Amino acid sequence: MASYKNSSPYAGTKNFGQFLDVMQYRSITKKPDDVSYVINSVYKYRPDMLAYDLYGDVNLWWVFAVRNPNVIKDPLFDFRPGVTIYIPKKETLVADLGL
Amino acid sequence: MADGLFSSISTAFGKVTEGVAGFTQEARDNPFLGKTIDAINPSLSRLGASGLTKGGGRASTRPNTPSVRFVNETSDWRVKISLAQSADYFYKDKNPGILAPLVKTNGVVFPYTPQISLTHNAKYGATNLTHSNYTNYFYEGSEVQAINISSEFTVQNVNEGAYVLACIQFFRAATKMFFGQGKNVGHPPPMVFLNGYGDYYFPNVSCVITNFTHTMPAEVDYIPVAINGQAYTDDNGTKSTIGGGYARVPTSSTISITLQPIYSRRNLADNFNLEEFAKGSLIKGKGGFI
Repeated sequence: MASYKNSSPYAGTKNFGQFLDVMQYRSITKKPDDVSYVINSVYKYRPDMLAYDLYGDVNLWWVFAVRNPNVIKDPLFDFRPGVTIYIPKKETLVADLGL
Repeated sequence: MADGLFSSISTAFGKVTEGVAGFTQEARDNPFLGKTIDAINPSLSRLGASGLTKGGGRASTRPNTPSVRFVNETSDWRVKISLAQSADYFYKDKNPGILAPLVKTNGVVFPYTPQISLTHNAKYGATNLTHSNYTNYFYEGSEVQAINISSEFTVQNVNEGAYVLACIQFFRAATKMFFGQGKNVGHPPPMVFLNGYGDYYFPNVSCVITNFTHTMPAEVDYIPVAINGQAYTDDNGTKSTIGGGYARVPTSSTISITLQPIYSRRNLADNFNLEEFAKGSLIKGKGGFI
């Protein structure tokens, strides 16, 4: 049975041998002090790089899409300049994802 | 063949143009432009350019926002020409008419940094003595020559148009004497006071306006500015109206004025002291000597 790290979007999803069950959505708490950020050309299509710069872990590339479901449908190609998103704090991720 | 040549040149030119446009767009969007890039820690550099900090916080200053501050920025250092504090004419009249926009700024404030030239002269008379190898010079006197101020005035809306119109009318009036009817008849053109660039450059310099030039270019638009009529009652009890109608004002024009600094003999005799002047003691609030 494969196991996924807590930083993975599949960490809460059951698996049967080589097969994954229906994906269990991992929610991230929306805090009022989350910083809004307009994506610029530095992080264009690079949520992994932003995750690395902010949290020191590229595996958290998906947290922006989960935190901003109305703005980012495609976690990669909706991550484009001019889009305003909210950035979850690292403490929130630690508490919610058990990092 | 010629068509083919032109076609290939045109295509190549198009690519060059496209390349330049792409470069300028990229340069405009580049958040690193004008910032120091941390080559040792590119992660911090990227976050800094985005206004973020590690952990998901916001950097103390927003990115790409110029922060320009002047010392003691609460004081207005713009160049301004105003009337005496005790004046009761022109824009200080009870009903200033079309000079009303100048009331709020207490005089003419130059909206853009004007070009100013200021000359200080010391005159020496030359005497050539007979059988002498050198000319002898004898001090005659010193003077502060006329101050020339030239500035651009732009108009982008009706309020700015009314302000420019008021400035023009003020300078027209300030170069004329009180003559004919009305109060102050017989008085010369009024004194004006020049302020600007803080307390030590133009410290309320008393001047008269000796020349006023308004250059109205031919190649700019002229926009109509409505002047609201204002009913008032003058000193004799006569009711009348000032203003009304409209004027066309150039969207960009140049106003040049020449100011001659003037100091009263009493002020000079009672207050001037060269040693104090050299220390700067006679500038701020002490006669406006320059």
